[in-house]
Amino acid sequence: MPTLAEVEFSVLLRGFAAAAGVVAIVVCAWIALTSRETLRSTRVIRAGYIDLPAVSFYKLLGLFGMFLLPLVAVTLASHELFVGTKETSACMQCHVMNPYGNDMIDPKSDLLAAKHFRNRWIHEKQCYQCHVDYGFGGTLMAKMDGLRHLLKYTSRTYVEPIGLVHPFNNSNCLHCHAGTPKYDAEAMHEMMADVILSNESACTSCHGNSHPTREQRSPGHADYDRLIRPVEIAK
Amino acid sequence: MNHHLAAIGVIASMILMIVYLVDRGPYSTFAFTFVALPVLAVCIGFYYLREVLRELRDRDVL
Repeated sequence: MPTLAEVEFSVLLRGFAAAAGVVAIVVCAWIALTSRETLRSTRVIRAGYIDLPAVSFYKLLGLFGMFLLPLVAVTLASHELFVGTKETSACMQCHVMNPYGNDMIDPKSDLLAAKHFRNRWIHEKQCYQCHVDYGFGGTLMAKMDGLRHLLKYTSRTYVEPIGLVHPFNNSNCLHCHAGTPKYDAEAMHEMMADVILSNESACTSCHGNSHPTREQRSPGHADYDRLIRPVEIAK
Repeated sequence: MNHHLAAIGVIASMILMIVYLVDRGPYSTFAFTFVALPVLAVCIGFYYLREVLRELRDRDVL
């Protein structure tokens, strides 16, 4: 969970972006309703304490309303797009993700994702932390994947149950677990180090599934109705 | 592209952006990413920046 300060900062940014957007709308409406002749007229407009020729006044208005304000607004909104979409609640906006969310918040579930979520082994942004490869390349790939997910979801070109396009990278588990006393104490980890590092064998092969099975997430399965119901995850 | 069209384009993209900031659902995210941002880029690039460049050329700055 993000701290209160982080939440407020995010809300503040969204508020600034929306306010800049509203002012830009008002200024652009003014420009749109002004004829080309008026824009280029030589009459003098009183703007506060200064008198400006109409052409200069409208140039300044255009600079703010059609360039600077929209630029500020979309920059702040894009920040929200990049940062806000890392939240687990952002993943749960699409109903195909409900089976994963419902299982994670199920106190009886013994699956890996549920245990990590329930015990706060991953403190925040749980989907992002496990599914995004580390490093710049991982972040870039995650954003590209996000755009693909958005296109598929909004165009309804996905098929249930959804699944991973790329094999899960074991290094995402190792990023937290490797080097811990518990991990090092398990002889099998050392014996299978090459296999684990090369992704020839998934961590889930020994440690069990992370999420409900493909069958459980398929329409018609006995668990499907329970898993697909709307899920509320705060962050 | 005249200034009316450019201003309307900016207004439309700002409306989509505000809807996204309030809703943040998949459809509003799609509209912001694939409609609002390209429309805004076209309005600013093809109208506003082109006008600025034209004026700078007219004044022999460029």
